[in-house]
Amino acid sequence: MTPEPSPTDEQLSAYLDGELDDLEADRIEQRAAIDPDLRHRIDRLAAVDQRLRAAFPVTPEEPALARIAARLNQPSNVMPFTARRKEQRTAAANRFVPVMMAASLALLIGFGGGFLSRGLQTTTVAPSIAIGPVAQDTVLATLLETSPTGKPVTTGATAEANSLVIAATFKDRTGRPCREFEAVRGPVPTGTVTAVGVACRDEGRWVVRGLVALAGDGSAPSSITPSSNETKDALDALLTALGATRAMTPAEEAQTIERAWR
Amino acid sequence: MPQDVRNDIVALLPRLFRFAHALTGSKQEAEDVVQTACERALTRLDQFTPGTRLDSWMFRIVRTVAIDRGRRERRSVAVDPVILGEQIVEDARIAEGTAARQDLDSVRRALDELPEQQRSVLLMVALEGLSYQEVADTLGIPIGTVMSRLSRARRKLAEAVEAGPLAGQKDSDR
Repeated sequence: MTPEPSPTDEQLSAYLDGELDDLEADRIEQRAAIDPDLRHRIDRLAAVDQRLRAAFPVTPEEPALARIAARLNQPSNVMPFTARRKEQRTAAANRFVPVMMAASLALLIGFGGGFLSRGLQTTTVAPSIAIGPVAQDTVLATLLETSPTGKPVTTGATAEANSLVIAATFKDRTGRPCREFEAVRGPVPTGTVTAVGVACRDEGRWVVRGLVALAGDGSAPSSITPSSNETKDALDALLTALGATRAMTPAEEAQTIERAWR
Repeated sequence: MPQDVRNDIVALLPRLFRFAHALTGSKQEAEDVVQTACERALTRLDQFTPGTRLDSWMFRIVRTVAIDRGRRERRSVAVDPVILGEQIVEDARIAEGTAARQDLDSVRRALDELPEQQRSVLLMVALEGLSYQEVADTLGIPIGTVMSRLSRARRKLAEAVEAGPLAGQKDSDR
């Protein structure tokens, strides 16, 4: 009786990938049970896949992903991002950094049409703050329309106060006024920043263009904990996508508010 | 509907990036490749058949872009010391210990030495979990070809890892 030839590497690969039919797979398993060489060959090939996956893990916190996602929502990508980025790094962009370095965050960025980093579909962060148009007569609308930078609006009783404060005012590349704002749990400056966003004034109303929510405000999916670097990159990408120019001086800002943003 | 596909593509970014990173050997290049691939996909959404796998379609575009770019600029693998440094830090995080890290280095280097056709098939199956039929459809090749490329790729990688961290470097062509 001639012994059956040992399975080829191709067959073993197909076995590992679940591509053999039950009969063939059974044959290999039965043989491997009594054939240490065959077992060794199978283990050896399986180890390749394990190492490959270890060498290239999926990394949702990879900063490049936020940058790509941000650029995808740009209607045109005429100028390479890196060039724009250097050019347009602004006072506003730099302001973000110290605020955001401290904590781990959930990312919720959207630009009008609603791309969301990593496919997150949630756009609501703190009460009444969401990507999209800001409803008239809300605290946020009033803040955006009338408050100077650094002057917080606080609502609720002291124990569970929520505050909103403008961090900077600037113009985007089309000359639209935009404002970076922070949502704070508690009073400013001792409270905890729960979200940072950017809203721009478009045809007489304010539209939130992007939000970065800090984990722990109850709305962020707890499984996602981007690094502070990613957050910084995401904010950077957001401001770059908007084409943020330098932050307005207090005098310029006061004048703009007085003219009701016209 | 196009907006849905756009969101779906964004949701795929982590996998597309990993695939491109493994394919090109560089994160910087992967970022450019994925960016270009997504832009290309968005202008050709009409060519995507609803109900078929979006990830396979995207992997094909990523691969095409990577090959196109590779023709123009020769593959340069981890020549940038900063990138290399980042990679090492990352490896250190993934796997504590020098032996494990050298292991991962060997895998990357060996992968890089594979012919592109074998590398693509290996990554689609072993990393991304596509079936042989899906890979055959995506690349427009017979299943038998998928099997032989895959098998050769696995064997070479196994040999490289066993030979140790120095294997796979150019001077090992004996």
